[in-house]
Amino acid sequence: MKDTLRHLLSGVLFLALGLGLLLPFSRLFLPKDNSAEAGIHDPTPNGILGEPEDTIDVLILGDSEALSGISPLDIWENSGITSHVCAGGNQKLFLTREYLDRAFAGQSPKLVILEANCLYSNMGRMELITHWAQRTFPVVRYHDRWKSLGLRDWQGTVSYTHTHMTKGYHYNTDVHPANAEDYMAPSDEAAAIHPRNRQWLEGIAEACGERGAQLVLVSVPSSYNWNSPRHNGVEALARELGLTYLDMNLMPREVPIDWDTDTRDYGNHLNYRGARKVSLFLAEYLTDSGLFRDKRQEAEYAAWEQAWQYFRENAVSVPG
Amino acid sequence: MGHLVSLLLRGTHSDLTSFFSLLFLGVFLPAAIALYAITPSKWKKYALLVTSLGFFRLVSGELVLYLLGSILLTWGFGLWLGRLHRDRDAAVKAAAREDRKALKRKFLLRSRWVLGLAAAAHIGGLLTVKYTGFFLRNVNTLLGVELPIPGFVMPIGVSFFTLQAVSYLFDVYRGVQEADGNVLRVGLFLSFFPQIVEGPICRYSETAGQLWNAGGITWRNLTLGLQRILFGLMKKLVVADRLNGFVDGVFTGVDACQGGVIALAAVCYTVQLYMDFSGAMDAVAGMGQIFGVTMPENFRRPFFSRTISEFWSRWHITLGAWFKDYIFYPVTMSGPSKKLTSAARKRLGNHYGPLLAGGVALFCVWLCNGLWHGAAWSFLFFGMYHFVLIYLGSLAAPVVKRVNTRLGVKPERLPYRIAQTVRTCLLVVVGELFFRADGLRAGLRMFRKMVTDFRFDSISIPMLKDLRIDPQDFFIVGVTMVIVFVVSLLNERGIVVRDALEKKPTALRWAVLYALILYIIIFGAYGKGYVPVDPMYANF
Repeated sequence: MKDTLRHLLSGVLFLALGLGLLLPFSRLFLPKDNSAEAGIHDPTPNGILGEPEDTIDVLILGDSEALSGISPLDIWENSGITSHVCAGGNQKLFLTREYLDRAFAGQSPKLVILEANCLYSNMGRMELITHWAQRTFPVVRYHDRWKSLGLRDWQGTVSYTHTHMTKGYHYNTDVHPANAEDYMAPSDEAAAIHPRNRQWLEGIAEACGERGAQLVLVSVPSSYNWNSPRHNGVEALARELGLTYLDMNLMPREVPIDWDTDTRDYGNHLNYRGARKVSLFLAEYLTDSGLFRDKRQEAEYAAWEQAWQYFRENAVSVPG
Repeated sequence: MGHLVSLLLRGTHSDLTSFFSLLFLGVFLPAAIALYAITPSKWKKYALLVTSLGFFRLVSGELVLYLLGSILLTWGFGLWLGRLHRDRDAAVKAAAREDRKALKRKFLLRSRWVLGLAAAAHIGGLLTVKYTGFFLRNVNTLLGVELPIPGFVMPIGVSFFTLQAVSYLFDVYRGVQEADGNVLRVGLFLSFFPQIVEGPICRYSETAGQLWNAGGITWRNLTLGLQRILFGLMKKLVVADRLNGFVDGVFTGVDACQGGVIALAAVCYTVQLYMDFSGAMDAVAGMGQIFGVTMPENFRRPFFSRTISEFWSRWHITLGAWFKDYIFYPVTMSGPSKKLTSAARKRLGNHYGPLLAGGVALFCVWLCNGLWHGAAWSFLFFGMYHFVLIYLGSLAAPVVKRVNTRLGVKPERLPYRIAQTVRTCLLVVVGELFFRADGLRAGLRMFRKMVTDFRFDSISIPMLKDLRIDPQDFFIVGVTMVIVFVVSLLNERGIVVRDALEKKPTALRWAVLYALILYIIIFGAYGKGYVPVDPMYANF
């Protein structure tokens, strides 16, 4: 018994010391800037880290639907409201939560938009464990940086300087039409949301509440991913949690998506033409909310105007 | 535990086939150890059996029925053979002296029939699921017909547990192993979860008793076992998986690669295969030790070999031993072989005479060895390549000896030994090139390019980067190989590093272990930009 206790203690001590040892290595391996050159993963959504403190009004979270369907610069152009997309392809809610926490560290958005498609992206326990390890010990996520460690890494000073040109939006003008007839045909069915996803959504809503940010669920039009049962599932959950839910798949007047011209991959994602329609609607919605002031004339936000001009001049085609 | 049960019911959880996956190392193994540890002593064997069958169910789903069928057949045929032996002994004892020989002969024939039936059931099953497609594809090509090719699903590890089953039955037939009446013990012998995916191919006398009588988990076994698993993890993650992108890029894009790059990829593949397979065997041995079972070693520093023959006695040892015991010896000891040997000995002398019949047996061994690895002409070529090398080595041995004597070369001197080792490694690399190539034609094309288009300057940094590897990767692979080499060298000299480390002060021991863990975390090929690589021997 004495031996067992000694061995148990020794095992716990070994583990604790080992985990402790990971902390200094995590500091070393954590990228010291938020650019791809500095080694950060996903520099596009992480562009928010380089934005000046407390300058982002709206945070946009979600998966590739958000990434392709909402253009913050178009929202800016039409409302003077600043926003940033922190989304990635097939992004799961645990990563959404990480982006939210990371954004809250430097920003105080009054409104957080969560594109609802990721609520149907299930998370395995192994994925959660891996993500926890990566988040707690960045050396696990950034271990491959051993090839590029520099003096600054050893000094340990972190300074985020990179901002993303289109504020996290993925610009694309490809056109591959979708056959979207009746994709939102009415149904009484409600697609179930996995309890684990629901739990994570509740956590996100709670975090937003603590920071005084309003959480809004939205669905960007997608004839490939969306349907009435999913709409019903999200609507029921939003009602239960007291959240606003905007389904743009059911707003053909406000968001007049033409599935012959506005999708880049057969209805899966919107192209820029479609994203602009979504963004114009959101600009109006955000303005109407009364939460934000128009900052287009403010000198502090001149960089946003420059970004918009640069985007407009360099984009292949911006519909009028 | 609830998650594990739900996974169990769902089945076919392929992540578990890799002993180094998070699911296996982080969930399954700890759960298996915990279940084993809390089970009262007299029930531990059953816990191990349930865990093993559960593991197979998790990995292979409904194909667990194949394993269960194999267990029942092995047990049943074993008992039948055992009964025949007992009947023979009783009949011989009761018979008059002059009748005994005939009686023995009669029972021998009966035993052979039963053994044949048992082997046909096992090998027949293996042949059906593994080789039907290959056979029918060739028939279609040769005869210009279009016979439908059935798509059999192969249970994981079928080639390993089938050979174990056959070895047990052979041993019972030969009388070197008592038939076991306990179907659960036979089941545990065949299904023990660490060995079922990639071997080693154990003999009944080696592990069945150990598994059945395994005691509690001791702290020493647990820590030493985990250390061995950690060492295997380093081989797999730091070397094998790091080289995978490059090897895969070259072998699937041969046309774009010059001879120098192909040669480098062939060397890298050989290293990758060794590190992957021997790493998995480290994990198996480590897990065995945790449960108090000594598993047979499958590798013994193969790249220290001076001949191809020696290489195969150090690489995948248990497979080589199986072929030796159950194919080579039965063929060489058969009546016709013996006759051939004695006739040849008279004409060709004591060296070359036995080589004639030995050659036939060796041919059978390497034909089976090639086919065992896979149903494709490239694997057959791989087998024949080694047969030719080993046979030529035996034929040339007296000539080489004479030449060495004349030239005053001393084979035991270091430069000669090093030259032999390098030559053997090069021959192995060529063999592995054919083994990995996407078919025999691709292998021949790669070999031709390697020989006719070999230039060192074809290997450039931009080209390597295109193939998802850079000099830093090679550097870390090199450092790890040095670590493995030093550990191997110490092993070769009888020093087991883990045992030596155990005697050192705790601070030093922990420092070494932390260094190893950090080394794996930092230099392992996992996470973004890397694709988890399935265990390379799991599909054979």
